[in-house]
Amino acid sequence: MNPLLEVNQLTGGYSIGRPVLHDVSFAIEPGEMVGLIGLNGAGKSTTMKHILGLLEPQTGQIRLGGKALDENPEQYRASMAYVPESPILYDALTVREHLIWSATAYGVEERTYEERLVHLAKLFHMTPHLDKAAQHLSKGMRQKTMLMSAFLVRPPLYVIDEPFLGLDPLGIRSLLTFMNRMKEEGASLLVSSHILSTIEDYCDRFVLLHHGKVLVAGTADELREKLAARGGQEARTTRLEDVFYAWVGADDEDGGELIWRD
Amino acid sequence: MARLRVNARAPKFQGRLLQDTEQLWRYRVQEFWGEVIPYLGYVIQSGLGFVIAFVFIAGTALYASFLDQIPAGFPVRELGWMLLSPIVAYTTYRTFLQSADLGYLLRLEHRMNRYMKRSVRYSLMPRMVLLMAACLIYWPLYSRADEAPKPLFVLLAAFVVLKFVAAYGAWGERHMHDRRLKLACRIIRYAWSWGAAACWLWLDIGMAGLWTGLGGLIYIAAIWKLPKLAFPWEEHIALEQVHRNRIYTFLSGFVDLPTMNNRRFSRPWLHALGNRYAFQKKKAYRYLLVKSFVRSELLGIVLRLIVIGIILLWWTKDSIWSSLLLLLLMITIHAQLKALLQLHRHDVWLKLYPVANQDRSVAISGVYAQVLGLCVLLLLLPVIAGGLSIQAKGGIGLGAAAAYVLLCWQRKHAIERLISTEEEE
Repeated sequence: MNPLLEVNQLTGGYSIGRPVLHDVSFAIEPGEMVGLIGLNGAGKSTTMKHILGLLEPQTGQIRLGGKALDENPEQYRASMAYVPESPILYDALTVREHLIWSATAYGVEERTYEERLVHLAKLFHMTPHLDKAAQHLSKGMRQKTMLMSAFLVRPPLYVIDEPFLGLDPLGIRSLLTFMNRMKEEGASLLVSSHILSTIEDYCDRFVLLHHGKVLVAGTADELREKLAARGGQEARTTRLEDVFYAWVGADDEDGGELIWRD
Repeated sequence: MARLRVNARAPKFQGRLLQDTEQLWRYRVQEFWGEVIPYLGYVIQSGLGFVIAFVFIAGTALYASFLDQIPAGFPVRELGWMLLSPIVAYTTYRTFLQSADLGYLLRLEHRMNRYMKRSVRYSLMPRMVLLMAACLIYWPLYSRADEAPKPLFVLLAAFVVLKFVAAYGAWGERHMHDRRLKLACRIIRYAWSWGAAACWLWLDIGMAGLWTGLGGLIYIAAIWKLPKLAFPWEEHIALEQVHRNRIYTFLSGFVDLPTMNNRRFSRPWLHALGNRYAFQKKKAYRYLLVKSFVRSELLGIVLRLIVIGIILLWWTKDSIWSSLLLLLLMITIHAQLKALLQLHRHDVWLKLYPVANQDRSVAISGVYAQVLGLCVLLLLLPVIAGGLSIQAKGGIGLGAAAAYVLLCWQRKHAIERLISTEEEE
């Protein structure tokens, strides 16, 4: 099977000569959910910006559905939906109008839109808020509007940056259920999150970024095995969070060995 | 058009400034002007300076010649009323407060008195100068055309006092927490300002002083008594942001600046506008643009121009000069609608959503043409109702249509140029 997204030896960042990412490579298959994990400043959001085409790779290539952005920008854009870490909404538009704007831009038909709208609004408990202007929404509702806009258009790839920020426990559960459903329907998801305990059971594979490099990639079990092979103390049954800490926590310049009671 | 990035100035450490809030105020003012002044060069280069100089010189010459032959029965009081009342009523305050101040300056609220005094003085000074300049410009006409003109110093002093009263009201409104109360007080401020200005133009000095004095005292007492916040942080910060946005929106007309979030108005009666573009992929951007436009400050500006235009055209409806006024209004609305180009220009979603640049260009041109067309039709109504001959009315209509086509053509090319420049970048 051809991968849906290929990130091939990507080196890039915000200024030439000072790359944030170094030789980053990974791929996502159709129907796969991949967790992009790492500490603050590891390069997760920068990787996503490169995939979205907001940053130009200094070297390396990104292909989505076998095509690079410059080969067919419209098809590339139509193949993916993005949910940013902080909701970016139009203050003037209502929730419903945001969804119509997304549906119209991605060419979703009205009848399909109506069906999906009803379902998504129920799922995220947004039915009573559909006609509220974005500027009057709470932080969680803004995030839900972003998620609904992305899920409404059903692209092959979802790029979701820190999806759980601002969501209440019910919202997190609805989101995870829906992401799973999208995956089962054949969509791929690239999700970055700090809340590893939440995504551990949902992601098929993980890419661990550290200081702009891929430190390790694979399933949660493979990560544990690789850690054990590296001489890590953690048992094979350890939670992903502990494995993550064992990989990067001790390696970090600051605070690697500090615990709260200190 | 020159393309610049917004100055991403690293904020200096302001810790020592917190000891002396007056110094902090000075720092904030300098910082603001330090940001804005570099862009003023582009404004002057654009030819605006030349246009202002030309309008000033030509206006002075025309005014001087008009003063020599003022027609009998010239409505000098009405003109003064329309000129001076808005200047008396409209008052804004600049505080230079920022969102982060809510976290860092909140605990210094008890020390913010001097900071706010400086802000009030800074805000009132130019508005007083503008009012006095308007009075001085109006005075030569008023003193010649009015049947019982008041002495200059009386007129000046009266309007300055009126302005102070309105400014006190505006300051009080800013401190009010209740939205409806705030709105009611705003309406009262405008009513009082226009009413008081009328008193000083139509009544004799004694009566005008009596009525505006009494009215003013009652108004001040009411504002003073109404419930208010001690320090409306959020309102100060929000209104400061509005002010900055306006300045950057103005500058973005001359230099390529990403405009900040503008103020939004709900306008529920216009909700249905734009719905017909939904679910037509090629019109996706038009949907977004129409929805944003109907809730934008830009629509408010255009509506105000139409109202003022209709009043002025109604006034000159029997004269051929109405054609010149109509053209001037069309050019003004055309200039204001340039902001449509900027409305979503720097949005990240336009880079991420599959929206073709060609569709964007068509959408902006289309919305522009629709809005300007509607404005022209509304502005033509007083001319049609006027006493000019059918031939003259037909001529004005044809002229307006020709100007409309020319302006649309010019704007369409400007939009295409802008979008192709963006593509190249």
